[in-house]
Amino acid sequence: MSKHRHGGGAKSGRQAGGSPEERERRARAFLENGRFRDAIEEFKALLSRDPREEWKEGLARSYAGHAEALAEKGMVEEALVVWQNRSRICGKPLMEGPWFEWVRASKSGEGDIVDWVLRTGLFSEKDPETAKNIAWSLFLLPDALFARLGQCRDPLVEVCRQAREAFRHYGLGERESAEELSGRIPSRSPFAPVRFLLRALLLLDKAPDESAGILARLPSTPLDPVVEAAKIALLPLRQRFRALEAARDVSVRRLALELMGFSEKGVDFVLEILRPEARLPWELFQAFMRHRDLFSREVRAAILGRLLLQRGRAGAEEIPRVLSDRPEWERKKALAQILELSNDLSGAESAWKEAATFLHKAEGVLAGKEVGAIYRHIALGMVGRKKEHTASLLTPAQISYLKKSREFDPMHRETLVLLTKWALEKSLKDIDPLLREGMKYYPDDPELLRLRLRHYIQAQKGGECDRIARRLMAVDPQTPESRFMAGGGWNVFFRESVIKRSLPKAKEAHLRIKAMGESSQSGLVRVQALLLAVLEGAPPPEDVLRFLSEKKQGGSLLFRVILDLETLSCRIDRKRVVKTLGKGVFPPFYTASELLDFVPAAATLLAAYGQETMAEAMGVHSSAIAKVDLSGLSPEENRKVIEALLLLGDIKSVKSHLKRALKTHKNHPEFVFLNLKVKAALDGVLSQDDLDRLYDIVDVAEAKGNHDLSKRVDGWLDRYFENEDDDDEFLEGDDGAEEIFGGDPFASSRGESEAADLDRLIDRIVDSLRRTNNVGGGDSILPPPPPEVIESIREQYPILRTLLLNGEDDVVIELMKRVLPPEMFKEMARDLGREAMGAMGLGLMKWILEEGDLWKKKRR
Amino acid sequence: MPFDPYRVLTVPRTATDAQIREAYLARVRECPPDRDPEAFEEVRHAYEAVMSLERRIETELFDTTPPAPADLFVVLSPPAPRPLSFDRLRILLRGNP
Repeated sequence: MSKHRHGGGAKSGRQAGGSPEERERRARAFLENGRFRDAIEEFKALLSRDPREEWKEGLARSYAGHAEALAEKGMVEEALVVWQNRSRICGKPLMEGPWFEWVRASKSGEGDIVDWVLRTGLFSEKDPETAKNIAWSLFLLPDALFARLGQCRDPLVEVCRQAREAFRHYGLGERESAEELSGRIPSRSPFAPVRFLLRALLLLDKAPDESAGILARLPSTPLDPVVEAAKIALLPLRQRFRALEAARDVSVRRLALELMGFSEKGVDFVLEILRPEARLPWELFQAFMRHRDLFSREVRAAILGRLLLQRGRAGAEEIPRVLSDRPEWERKKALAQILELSNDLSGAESAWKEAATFLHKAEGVLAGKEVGAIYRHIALGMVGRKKEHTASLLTPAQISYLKKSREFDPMHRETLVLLTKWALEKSLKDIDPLLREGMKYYPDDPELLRLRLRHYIQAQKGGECDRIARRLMAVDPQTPESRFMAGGGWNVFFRESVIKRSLPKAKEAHLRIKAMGESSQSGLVRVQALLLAVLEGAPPPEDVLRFLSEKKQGGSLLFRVILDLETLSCRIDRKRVVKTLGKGVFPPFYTASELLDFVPAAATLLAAYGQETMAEAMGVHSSAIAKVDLSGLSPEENRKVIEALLLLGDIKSVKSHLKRALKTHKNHPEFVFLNLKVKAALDGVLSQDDLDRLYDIVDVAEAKGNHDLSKRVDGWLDRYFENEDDDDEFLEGDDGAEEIFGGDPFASSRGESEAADLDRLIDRIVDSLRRTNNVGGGDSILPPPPPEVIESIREQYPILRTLLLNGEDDVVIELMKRVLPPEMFKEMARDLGREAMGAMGLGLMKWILEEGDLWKKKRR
Repeated sequence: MPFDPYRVLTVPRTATDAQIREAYLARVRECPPDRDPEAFEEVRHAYEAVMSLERRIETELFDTTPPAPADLFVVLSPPAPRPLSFDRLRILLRGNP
C-alpha cells in the first residue's frame, strides 16, 4: 500500500491497529462495503500475526473483489496482476473464474494458457468449468501462439484444431469443407457449439428459419456476440437497424454488419449513423457527406437533396457544392424545394419554372410528363399555397400553369377534368378543345362524360344530351351523380323534342327517364307523361290524377307549379293542359301545409327557371295562394311562407297574408318589419312613423336578445337610407324542388358570353381586392370573417352566381347581405350603386374564399 | 412514406405498373397486417408512392420526406450475407474491434 493511501484518514475511514478481533471485524466490514484495498491491508496485517485459513480466505476474496472492480473499469491488465497476487499469496488457482475472459480481452497471459496446456493437458482437467474456459481461450488464440501447441496430442487440443479449421474454411467461403470439418467436432466436446454455430451461419441466407432455430438453442459461450449478431442479420431489413441500436456493444454491431455483407467502409458508416446524435439532420448530413462515395450517384443525389431540405435556407447555399455532379435541373429542383419549405413561394415558383425549363432542354419529349408535373405542382401542389382545387375558384395564374402543364402532358386526366370544369364555369370559349380531348383520351370516363353532358345541358342541346346520356348510362349506370346528370340530359332532350313537336323522340326521352326508376325523378316523369298526353290529345294518365288527388310528394302546389314551369318551358299552351286534366282537378284552394312544403323549393326553382318564367307560373296560382288560411302556422312558419312568396314576386299573396298575419299576431315585430319592407318596395318611401316603428322593433328585439331580427332590420335600414329603391326581401331555399323536377339545375336565362363576362369582371374585382385588401377602393383593412361565414359563402357562391346571371340582382344583393359579414356588406353598399353590387359582392365572396385559408392560419 | 419505395417492394426503378403490383402483392403475403402491421404499412405506403407512372413521377419530383438513419442503412444494405473470416471473428471477440 502506498503512503498516500495509508494517510487516507477520514476519507478512507481506516483505523490502524487494534486487537485482532477488532481488525478482523474491520476487515470484513471493508470487504462487505467494497473497500477491497483496505480489506486487503487489514487481512494482510492479520495474516502476518497468525496465518489462519479464514483470514487467508478473506484476503483471497478481497483480491478477487479488487480485480473485478478494476476489470469493470476497463483496467484488465491491472486486474490480471491482482488476480496473480491472489493466486500467489493465497494459494488459489490462477486459471479460474474471470481470468480467462480477462486474458482473452487483454491478450496477456495467453502464453500462460499454452504453457499450462503443454504442461498439464486439457483433457485431464477435472473441473469442467475450467476446462471449458481453457478450451475457448485456445479456440481464440492467435495462430502464432496456437502453433506452439503443434506437438501437443491432447485429444481436446485436436478437436480445437478441427474447430478452428472448420471456422477458417467457412470464412473463406468453402462451405463444403467447413461443413465436413465441423461435422467431425464431437457433440460432447466443449467445442460442440462451434459445430452448431457454423451450421447456423452456413444456413443464414439459404434457410433462415432453420438457422434461427439453431441459434436459439445454442448454450451461452464466449461466442455469444456472434450468435447475437447472426440473430440480427436474420431479422427483416427494417428491424435490423433497431436491433443494431439495441445491441449490447460495438463488437456485436460490427459482427452483425459484417455478417450482413457490409464492406469495411459501410460498417464504419452504419456505426456512425447508429449514434443517437445522427438523428439530428445536420449530424446525419455530415456523416453522409463523409461517406457519400458508398452510394450510387442517383441515390446520392436523392439523399443529399432531401437532407439539404432539412437545413432550411442554409441548405440552398450548399447546393452548388453538394450537387455539383448533378444536372442543372436537379439543382434548381433542390432550390425550389428549399424555398417552398421556407415559404418563399414566389422564389420557389421561379426555381420550379427554371427546373422545368432545364429539364425540358436536357431531356426533350422524354421528360414531358415530368415537366407537366412540375407546372401542375406550381399550379396546385406547392407547400404553403392554398390547396384550391375548386375549378371556379382557380386564379388566372393557376389556370395558366395548368394549361402549360397540358402542353407537356396532355393526357393527365385530373388536369383535363379540372380545366374542363373551369371552362364550363368560367370560360366557355375554352370548352370545345377540352371536351374534344377528353373524348379522345378518355372516351368512357364517367366524370368527363358528365362534364360534357353538363355543357350540353347548359347549352340546351337536346340531341347531344341524349347521345352522351346514353353513353354515360352504358359505362356508369349506378353512380347517383351520373344518373342525375343523365336524367337532366334527357329532360333537355324531352323539352327540345316537344318544342319541335317530335313526339316519338320526346316519348323516347320520357321512357328513358322513367326506366331509370329514380324516386327523385318521379315528379318529372308524371309531368312529362301528362304533357305527352296533352300533345296527343289523350286523357291524363291515371297515376297523375291519383297523385294530384293524394297530395303527396312535397305538396301538390309544388307539383302544380312545376307542371306550369315545364308547360312554359316546353312552350305548350296551358289551357290545353287544364283542359286535359279537367277543371275539377285543380282545387280552388291550397292548404297551409302545402304552402309550407313549397317554401324550401322556392329559391331553387327561381334559380333553375328564372324570375320571368317563375313569375308567370306563380301568377296562375296567386289567387288561390292568397286565400290560404295560415292562422294555424306558427309565426316563424308564417313568416317563412310570406318571405318565400316575396322572393317569387307574388306581391298579391304577400299583401293578403301579411294583413292577416298582423291581425293574428298583432304587432309581431317580424310581420311589422315585413309589412314595412313591402310598403317601401311598393311606395318607394317610408314615413317617419314607419321608421320609428322599425327603430322600436330593433330596440325591443335587442332587449329580448333577438339579435338576428335586430341585425336584419338594422341592415335593411342602412340600405334603405343609401338607396331608397330598396324592395324585396326573401328566403334562401334548398334543394326541395329537385325531388320533383330532377335534373335541370343549369338553366340560365343569360347567354354564355354574359356568364364569361361576369366571371371576368369578378376576377378583376378579386385581383383588385387582393392588391389592396380593402373594399371598394376605401382604406379600411377588412377584418377576417369567422370560419362558419366562409363555409356559408362557399355554399352560396354558385347559387348567387346563377341568380345574378338570371338577372335576379335584387335577390342576389339580399342574399349577400345575409352571407357576407355585416361590416363588409355595409362598406360595399356605401360605396356602390345597386347595379354594381351583385358582381362586387360575388367578387368579394370569391376573394374571401381564396383568402380563407390564409386567415385560418393567421387566426391560429 | 418510405425513403426508397422501390427497395421496400424489391423492384428495380425501371419496373412496370404490373411488376410493381405483383411485387406489392408478394410483399403483402410476406408481411400481412395481422402478423407484421408495421412492415405492412411500409409496404402499402411504398406501393402507393410508385403504383403508377404519375405517382412515380410525383414521388421522384416532389417527395420531401427526409431520410432517417434507418433509411440510409436500408439503402446501403448489401443484398446477401457474407461469411465472417476467422481472423475477424477472433479480433472482434478478443475485445479489439
